[in-house]
Amino acid sequence: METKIGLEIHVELSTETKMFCPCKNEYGGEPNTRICPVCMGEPGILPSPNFEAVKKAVKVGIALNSKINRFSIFTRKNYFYPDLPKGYQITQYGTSIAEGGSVNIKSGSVYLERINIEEETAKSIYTENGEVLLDFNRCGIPLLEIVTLPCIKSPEEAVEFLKELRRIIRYLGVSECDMEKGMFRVDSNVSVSKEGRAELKNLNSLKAVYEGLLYEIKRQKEVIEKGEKIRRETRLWDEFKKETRVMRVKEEELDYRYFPEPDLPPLELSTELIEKIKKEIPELPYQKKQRFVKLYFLDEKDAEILVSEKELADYFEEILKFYKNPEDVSSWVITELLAYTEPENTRKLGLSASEIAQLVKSVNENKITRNIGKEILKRSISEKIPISELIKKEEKSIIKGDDIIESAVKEVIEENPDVVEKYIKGKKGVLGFLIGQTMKKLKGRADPKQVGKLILKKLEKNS
Amino acid sequence: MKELNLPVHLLIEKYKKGDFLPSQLIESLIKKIKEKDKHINSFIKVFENQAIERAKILDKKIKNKEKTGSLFGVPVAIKDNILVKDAETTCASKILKGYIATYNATVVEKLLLEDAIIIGKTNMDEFGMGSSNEFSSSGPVHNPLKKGYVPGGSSGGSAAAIAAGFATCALGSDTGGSVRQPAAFCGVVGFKPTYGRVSRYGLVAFASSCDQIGPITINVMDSWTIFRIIAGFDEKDKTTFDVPAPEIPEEEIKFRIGFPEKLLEQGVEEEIKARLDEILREFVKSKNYELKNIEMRSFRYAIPVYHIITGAEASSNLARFDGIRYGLRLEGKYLEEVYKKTRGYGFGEEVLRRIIMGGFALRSGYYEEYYIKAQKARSMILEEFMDNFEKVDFIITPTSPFPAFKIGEKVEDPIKLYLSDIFTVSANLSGIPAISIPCGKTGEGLPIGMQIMAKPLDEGRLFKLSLQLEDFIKQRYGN
Repeated sequence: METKIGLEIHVELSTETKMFCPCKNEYGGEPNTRICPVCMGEPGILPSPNFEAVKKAVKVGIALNSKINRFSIFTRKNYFYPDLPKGYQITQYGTSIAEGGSVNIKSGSVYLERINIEEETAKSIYTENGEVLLDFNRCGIPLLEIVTLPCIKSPEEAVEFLKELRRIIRYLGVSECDMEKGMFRVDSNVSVSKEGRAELKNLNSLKAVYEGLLYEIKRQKEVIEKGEKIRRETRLWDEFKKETRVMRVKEEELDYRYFPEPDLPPLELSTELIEKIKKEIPELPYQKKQRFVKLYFLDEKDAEILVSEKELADYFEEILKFYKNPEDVSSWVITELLAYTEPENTRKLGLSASEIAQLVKSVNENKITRNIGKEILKRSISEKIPISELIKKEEKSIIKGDDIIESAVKEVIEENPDVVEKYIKGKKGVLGFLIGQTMKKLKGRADPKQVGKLILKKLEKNS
Repeated sequence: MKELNLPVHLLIEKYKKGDFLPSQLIESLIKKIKEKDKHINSFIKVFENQAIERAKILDKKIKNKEKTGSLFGVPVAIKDNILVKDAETTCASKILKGYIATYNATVVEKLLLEDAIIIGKTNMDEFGMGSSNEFSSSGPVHNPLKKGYVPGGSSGGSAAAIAAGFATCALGSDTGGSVRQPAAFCGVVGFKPTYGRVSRYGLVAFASSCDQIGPITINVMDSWTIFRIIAGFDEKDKTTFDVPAPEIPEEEIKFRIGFPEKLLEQGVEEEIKARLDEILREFVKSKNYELKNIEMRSFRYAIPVYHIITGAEASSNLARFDGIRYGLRLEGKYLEEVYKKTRGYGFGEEVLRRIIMGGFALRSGYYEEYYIKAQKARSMILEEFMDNFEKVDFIITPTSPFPAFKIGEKVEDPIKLYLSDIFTVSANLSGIPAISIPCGKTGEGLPIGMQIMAKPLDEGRLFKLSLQLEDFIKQRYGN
C-alpha cells in the first residue's frame, strides 16, 4: 500500500488593502469595522482587483519555481454560507496565476499543481449559547491557494514541506503565515490505495497536520485490511478526541457551478512586470543555508536553525560584522540566545548585534568566563542593562592575580583529600570537580583555565 | 404648468430666463404625479421632500447667478435597480423590502454633479426580468398611452414616467431590451450604450455581461445629453472602457443602412413591418443613403443563448439575497430553512424560474452542454454583426415584433413573452449600442418603435443618424 498525500494551503497575503475593495487588511480588531459595500456583498457592487496582492502572488509563484501565467481569469465559485456575502467566492478555476512548481525537502521534491488568487470569507464566531456571529473584517482579504500534487509520502514529509513553504513565504515578506491566526491553513487529501481517498479538514497546526494524517493513514489501512473499501468523503480532524470523522460523503459534495467572473476582465501580466518581480526575490532559506555552510563553515544543522527565520539569519550576519567568528557566534546564538526566545523574535530581546559580538569576543579572549558571559546575557535581557556595561563591571572584578586563586585552590585541596587521593591514583577526571569547587569559592570571577593550571601545579607538588 | 414636458435644453433656457424656478417645476410635477400616477403606477417611490429641498438649493444658484450644471434643475426618474444613497432600493422585489442603499450608483453621482434632481424610483419587472412590467412586487405598470395595456419592460416604470410627463429624463437598465422595448411601447426614445461605456457600479446586477444603463427620454437629443454625462471610465467598474467620449460627427456622411428583410418575414406584425419599410425607403431616398438587405442568420439562436447566459449569471448575482445581512428574512429552525423560506417567498415566480434555469445550465456535467455552447453561439452572433458592419454602418429592425399588448395577455406564457425580445437581445449579447426611436402609431393608437444598431463605440454616428431619422419621422407623422 502506497500512501499519497496532497495538500491544499491557504495563505492570507499581507497587503495594505483587501483583494477587491479599499478596506484595510489587518488582523482582528473591533468586529465589522473594516467593511464596505463591496466586501459586504451589497447590491450593485463590483470588484476591483488589488494589484499589490497580484504582485505578491507572482512573487510566491516565482519563489516556488512555478510558471507564471501571463493571462489568467477569475472564476466564481457558487455556494451558500453566511460567511460568504455574495453567495460566491471570486477565485480561479481552470486558469491560475501560476502553475506547477516545487519545494525541496530532504527526501526529494514536493511538486505543486497550481497557485490561485482568491478572496477570504468572513469569520464565524460561535457563542456559548449556540449563536453564530459574523465578523466581516476578514472578508475579502487576499488569499493564495497553493495546491500540491498528491506526491507526499508521509506525515513527516508533509510537515517538513509545510515548514519549508511557510519559511519561503515568510522570507518573501508577503505573509506572516501565523497559523494560530489562521493566516496559513492546511487541508489535505490522503489515500493509501488506488481506490478511494479522503479529504481532511481542520488541520489548524503543524501538530494537527501530523497527527491527523497519521490517524487517517492508520484508519484507511485498517479499513482495507478488513476487506472494505475507502469511501470518498470529507473528514474533520478532532484535535481533542484525536480522531477524524465524516463531515460529508461524496454524494453530498457541493456543485460549485463555476463560471468565469463576468465583472472582471482577464488578469494580464506583462513580461516586464514578471521580470521586475523576479529581481525583487530575496535570498531564500535554502539558498541562505547553503551559503552559510560554504562561507562560514557551519554545520548543516546549525545553518538550518539560523536560516529558520530571516530575522534570525540577518541578526546572525550582523553580529559577524562586528566579530568575524562564525563558529562561536553561531554557538552563542543557537544555544544561548534561542533559550530566551523564538527565532522570529530574536530582535525583540533588545540586544544589539555589536553587543552580542562584544560578549562572544570577551569570552573568547578570556576577559570573562563563559559562565559569566551567560550571566551577563541573562541580566541584560531581564534588567535591560547594556551588555557592554555589564562586561566592564565584570572585567574590573575579575581576579587576575595568582595569589588569590592559589589560596582558594589550597583551601579546596585541603577540604577534599579523598578527591585529591583519587587524582593521584590516576583518576584524572576529577580535575573538573576541583576546578568547579574553586570557581565556586571565587564566585566565578576567575578564568577556569588559569584555575586548572594552578590546581595542576599544586597537585604535582603534592604528589 | 404646461412646461412640464420640455426637453432638457429648453427647460434650462426657461430657468435661465427666469420664467420659473426649479422648485416651482418640481412642486407642480409632484402634484401631477400624485394625481395621475395612481392610474399608471410608474413610481415605486417619489422623493417628494428631498426633490423639493434640492430644487430650493438650485433656486438659490439661479438667484446668485452661480455656475450651473448641464442638467440644471432637470427632473430625472431612476429605475429602482439603480442605487440612490439613503433611499430604499427594492428592484420591485419583496426580498429587498427595506433595503436602504448605502451609496450612490456612479451614474447617480454623475447626474447629481450636473445639478439634476432625482424625482423618484421607478417601477420595473423584478430585478429586470420581464418584458411587460407585470412581474413587480409593486404591481403592474399601465401604458400611459392606452389604458389596460402594458408599458413594456423591464424599465416599464421609467418609460411610462417619461411618456406621462412625470420627469424630463429617466434611467433604465437594459439587459436584453429593457430600455428599448418599453421606450418603443410608450412612444419615447430608449438607448442602450455599448457595453462598457457606462459604469454599472450601483446597478443591481441581473446579468453582468449584458447589463447596461441607458437613458429614456422624449427625444434623441436628450438621450445624447444624458448618455454623454453618464458615460466614461469608472475605477469602480473594471469592465468600463478608458476611451475618449463619443462625438456626433459634423460632416455629412453617406450612410449605408442594413435592413434584414428576411428576418422580418416571420412573427413581425404587418403594420409594424410596413411602417418601417415605408420610412426607411423614403428616408434613404431623401438623404441619398444606401439601403442594403442583409442577413442575420444567428438571430434565431439569440433568445435561447440569451436565456442561458443571463440565467446563469443571474443565478449567481442573486445569490447574495439570502436574508443574512439585509432585506427580507424569514426565520427558520436551521440555516437551510432560512434560505429556502426567504428566497422562496422573497423572489417572484419569473425570477425563480430564471434562477433555477440558470443554475441548471452551470451544473457540472451540463456546463459544457449549455453554458459553453451558449458562449460559442454568442461569439458567432458578434461575428455576424461585425461581418455585417463591414458592409453597412447601421442595422435597423423593429424594436419589438408587436406593439404593447393587454395586461395579462402573455403573462401565463413565458416563451411568448420572451419572444418580444427577439430583436433586442442580440445587441446585449454582442455589446453593441442600440437605440429605439418612435415612428408613429398603429391604427389602434399604439406606438411603434424602430431599433437602430451600430458598431461598438460608434455612438456618435448612431446619434447622427437617429437625429436625422427622428426629424424625418416627425415631419411625416407628427409627434
